[in-house]
Amino acid sequence: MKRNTFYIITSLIVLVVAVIIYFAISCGMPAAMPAVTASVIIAAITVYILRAKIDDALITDELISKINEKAATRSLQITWVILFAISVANLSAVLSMDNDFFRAKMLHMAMPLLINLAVMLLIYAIFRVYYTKMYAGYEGDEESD
Amino acid sequence: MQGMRAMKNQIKVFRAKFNLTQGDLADDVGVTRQTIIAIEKDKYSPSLDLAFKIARRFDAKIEDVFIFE
Repeated sequence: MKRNTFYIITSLIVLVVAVIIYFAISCGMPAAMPAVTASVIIAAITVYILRAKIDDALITDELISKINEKAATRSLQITWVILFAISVANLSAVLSMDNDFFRAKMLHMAMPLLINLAVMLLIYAIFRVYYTKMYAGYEGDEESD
Repeated sequence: MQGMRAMKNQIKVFRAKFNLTQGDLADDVGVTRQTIIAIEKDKYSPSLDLAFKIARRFDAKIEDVFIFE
């Protein structure tokens, strides 16, 4: 199996598990909880088995690292922009609402999202500083003061 | 990957000379076949480390295998 196929199948499995959990919670049935537990366990085992079937699972070379790097950075950028757009839309809805109950509900949705986005940026900045120190090698700079 | 900025190379010619498949070369220099394919098609410029390994595998100078345009 190719690595990309593995990632696509894994994301579909995670989506199915998320739907199962959502329905179990929204139906409020305690009886559904064993089904949720079973689905999570089955999903984890399936992903584990599929991972072992990747042709080049153990080989990571510079091209694969570069592809992973680009895909990860682009995922982060797109996720950030989408979530930021959602939180801004929520906040503008909050400002235009008259109903206090819904205002509070929307605010409780928008604010944690914005805080998460700020935390994401902070984590990114921390890792950037860390990897700059690791790879950039400024200690060999002969022109700095 | 790096598109227009990629270097040209003679890997295919050297492989034919040494009777090596893409898989053989990949195994010899410790990368995946996908990487050799990408380099041959000028879609990816290898690191210096990999470029030297490939040149060394062909007993050639790096500038004979890779041409910077």
